[in-house]
Amino acid sequence: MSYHFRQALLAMRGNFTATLATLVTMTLTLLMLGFVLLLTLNVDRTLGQLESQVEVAAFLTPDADDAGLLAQVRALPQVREARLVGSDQVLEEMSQTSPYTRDAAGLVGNPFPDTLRMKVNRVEDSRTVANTVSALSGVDGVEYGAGYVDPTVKTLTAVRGAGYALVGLLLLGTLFNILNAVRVAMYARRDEISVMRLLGATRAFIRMPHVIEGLIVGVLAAALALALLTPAYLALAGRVRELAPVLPVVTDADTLLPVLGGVAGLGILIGFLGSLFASRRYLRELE
Amino acid sequence: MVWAMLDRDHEQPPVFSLCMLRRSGGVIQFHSVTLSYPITGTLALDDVSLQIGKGEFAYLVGHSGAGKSSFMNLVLKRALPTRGEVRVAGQSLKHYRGRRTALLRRRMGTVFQDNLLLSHLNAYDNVAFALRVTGVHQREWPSRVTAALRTVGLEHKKYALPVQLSRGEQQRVAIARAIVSDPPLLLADEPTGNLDPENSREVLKVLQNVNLRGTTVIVATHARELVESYRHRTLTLRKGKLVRDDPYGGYAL
Repeated sequence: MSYHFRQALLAMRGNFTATLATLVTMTLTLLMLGFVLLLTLNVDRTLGQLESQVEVAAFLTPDADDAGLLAQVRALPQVREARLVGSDQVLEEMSQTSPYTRDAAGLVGNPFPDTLRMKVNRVEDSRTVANTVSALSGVDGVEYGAGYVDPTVKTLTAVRGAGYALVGLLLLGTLFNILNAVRVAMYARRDEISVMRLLGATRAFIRMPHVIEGLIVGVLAAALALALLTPAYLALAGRVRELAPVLPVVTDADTLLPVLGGVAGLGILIGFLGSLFASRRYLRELE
Repeated sequence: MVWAMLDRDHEQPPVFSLCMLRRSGGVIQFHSVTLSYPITGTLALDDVSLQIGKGEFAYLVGHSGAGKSSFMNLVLKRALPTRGEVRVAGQSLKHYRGRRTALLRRRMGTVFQDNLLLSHLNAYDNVAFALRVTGVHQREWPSRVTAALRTVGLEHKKYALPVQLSRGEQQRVAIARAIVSDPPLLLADEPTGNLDPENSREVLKVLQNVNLRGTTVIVATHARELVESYRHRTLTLRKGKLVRDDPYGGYAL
C-alpha cells in the first residue's frame, strides 16, 4: 500500500496544476454546498417560526352563517386550526392595544365584524387558503400578512433553489476536474502502465494510485472547506443574532455537526467515486 | 474491498501452470488462426496452425509485416483471433478475461525491441518491478533479482540507470526482468533489432541459457546471421501465412 500511496503523491506532484484545479473546485463546491445547507437549515427554522405565528383572518359579513363557514374552513386540508372570534371579542382585543378604540365604538358602534382566524400547516399555504376563503359566501375580506410573508417565502425559496442549482453545476465541474486530473496522471504514466500490463499487473494494481489520489484530494478539499466554512458561519451567525435577535439562527453543535460532517463525507466520496470511474475509463482507453 | 471493486472478473479458468504444461500437448497451439484488422483491411495472419512444445526454442522469421508481432500479440492476448483458436498450455485464450489475463501474463516473460525499461529506475529496481506488480513479497526480491541479473551477466551493474547502460546491456536487463518470475514461456519480439552484431550474439546466448533452464523460448526476428549461427526450430511467415516449419533451423525467406 505504501507503494501506491507514494505513487499517488508522485502523480499529484507531477501534475500539480491539474491536482490544484481539482482541489480548488472541490473546495469551492463543498463550501457552496455547506453554505446552501446551512442557509436551508436557517430558512426552515425561520419559516417554522413564521408558521407558528402567521394567521389568516377572514372578516365576515353581518348576515354570514358563522358556524357553517367555520366548518367549511376547518375542512380545508391546509388549515391546521380555525376559530371564530366574535365582534365583541375583537373590540376587546383591539382596545387592549389601542385604548381609544372603545371610545370610538361608543360613538359609532362596534366597527369590527365577526372574524375567522386560521393557522395554516405551512406558511406557503397562506395565500391559497386566503384565496379559497375569500371566495366563500359571507366573507367580506381576508388578511394574511401577505405584505411580508409572500416576499420572504419567495426570496428564501429562490435563494435556496439557486444555491442547489449552483452546487449541482459545481459538482459537475468537480467531477470533470477529477476526470481530467486522473487522465493527465495516467497518460503521464502510460509507459509504466504499458510495462505493468505486460508484466501481469492487475487492473486494480494499476488503478490504485489514482484512486488514492482522488481520496487524498477529497480529504484535503473537505478539510479546507470545513476550516473555512465553520468559523465563517459562526462569525456570521453571531452578527445576525446581534442585528436581528428575532431570527432563530442555528448555532447548536448537535444540528451543525451532522451537516458539516455530511459535507466532508460527500467531498471524500466524490473524490473516491470520481477517481474510481476515471481510472477505469482511461485505463481502457490506454489498452 | 477496494481491490475487489477495482478487479471485476473473478469467474475464470485457472491460469496455466507447470503442471498444466506437462499435461498439455504443447505450450502454444494455433488452430487455423486468422487475424485481420478491419479498419486497415490488413490480413496479419492467414489460417495459421502450429504447435510449440514445452522446453522448445523456436525462431519466428519473416519480413516486416509478415505477422511475427501479430503472433506475439495473440499469445499475449493483446489481440483476439478473427477466426480459429489460440491455446496456451491447453487452455483456449478466449476464456481469459480481466484479472485472469493479468495472471496469464505473469506466466509469460516478454522482451521487445524497445526494451521498455523505466528510465527513472536502476537495473535492480527495473527487474524488481516485475516482482512488485505481481505481488511477490519484498523479502524475496534481493535473491531473485540478483539471480536474474547474474543469469544475464549484469550483477555488477545493478545500480546503473538504463541511460548508463549500453543498448545490449539494457536488453539484457529487460531479459532479466522477463525471467525473474521464472515463467515457463519467454516471448522475445525482435530482441536484437536495435543492437550491433556483438550485442545481438550476447543477447541470444542469454536467451539460449534461459532455454537450457527449461523455459520455452520463442524469438521473433529477421536477423538472418543469428538464425543461421544458433540453429533452432524456425517458423517462417510470409504475408501472414506459415510457409515453412524447419525443425533444424535455417533462414529461407
